[in-house]
Amino acid sequence: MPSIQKILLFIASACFLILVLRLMRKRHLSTKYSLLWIALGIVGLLAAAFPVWVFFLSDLLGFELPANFIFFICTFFLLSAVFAGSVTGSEQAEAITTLTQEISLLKQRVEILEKEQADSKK
Amino acid sequence: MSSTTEHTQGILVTLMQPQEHTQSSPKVLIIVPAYNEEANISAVVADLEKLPYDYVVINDGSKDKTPQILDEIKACHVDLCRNLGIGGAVQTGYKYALENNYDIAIQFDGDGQHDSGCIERLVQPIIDGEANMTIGSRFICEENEFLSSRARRAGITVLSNLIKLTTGQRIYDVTSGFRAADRGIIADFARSYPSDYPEPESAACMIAGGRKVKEVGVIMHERQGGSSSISAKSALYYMVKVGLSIILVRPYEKR
Repeated sequence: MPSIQKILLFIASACFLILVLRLMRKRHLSTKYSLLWIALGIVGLLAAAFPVWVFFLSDLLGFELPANFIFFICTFFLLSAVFAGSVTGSEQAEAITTLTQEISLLKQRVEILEKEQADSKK
Repeated sequence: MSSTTEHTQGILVTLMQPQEHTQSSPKVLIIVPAYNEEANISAVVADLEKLPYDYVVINDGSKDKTPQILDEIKACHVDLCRNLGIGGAVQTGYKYALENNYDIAIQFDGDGQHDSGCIERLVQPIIDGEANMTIGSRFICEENEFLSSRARRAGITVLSNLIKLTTGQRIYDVTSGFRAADRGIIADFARSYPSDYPEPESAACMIAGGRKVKEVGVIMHERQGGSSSISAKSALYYMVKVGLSIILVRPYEKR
């Protein structure tokens, strides 16, 4: 009978994966940004089912306790995800700036056109 | 005309003579996405202007002389103020088709790989009511000598099998950007279209949604100038991303 932690981790990972897939199908989460989280879910499932590879990696990399290794990996993952978020945010900010400028320039030209049309009708 | 108006017309969509909209002669638009195609675009446009259909070139934020060339040859075009990629560019074309009340829209590459003589082959099944969407396939056409690189064919086979698995229909040329769509699909794509590597996913989505999708043999030429948009490096990301999208395929919500 597997330990309660393994069962909890397995269920949590499975639920997370189901959530990610549901959001993808409803198009609230695009495939591009979901890949990272799907990988996380799969890793969680594998760690719950076969924790021996976690212990193996932990020893291999010289961690005193597997718990230290797990915290390290989680922290590293979260830092990477947040950093990637900053990059995406920057790209989107630039895109929004460009769009704002283009729309404003277009608006000005349309106003000029409308004025010319109104003038020529007189 | 004042200089401001002339300048504006260069920026705004230049509309061509609108087609007659009748039952027997449907209004057809050819969507031509183009990114850095200064080497090919004027030849492609000259070719398309001989046809009885409307066309619109979607300039996807090209950094080369493509927009200047399009202005010079007075082509009907839309200049995107930012590069969106093939998905966004083609979707712009579908929005244009929807806004201008077209019955059929055709995707036609701006690099000269697609043969304009085959456009009729794609349009006819839709007019006849045999299909809602036709996909031009280089693989089921005997006239083709150029059949893509081996690596690309391997990838195409994998995706083709995946689509067969999830939808039950066999599509041979899953990455073909030479396609035609009817009004219903124009509306669907205008609303929602994948942003990168859109061809396999969008085809699978339409099949899953109960649309009639028919594959038609077409002639494709080897790329004449410029470079392809998919590099070897992005091939793995492509397969994973598209594979996943197909497995999760879900028909568009509204019909």
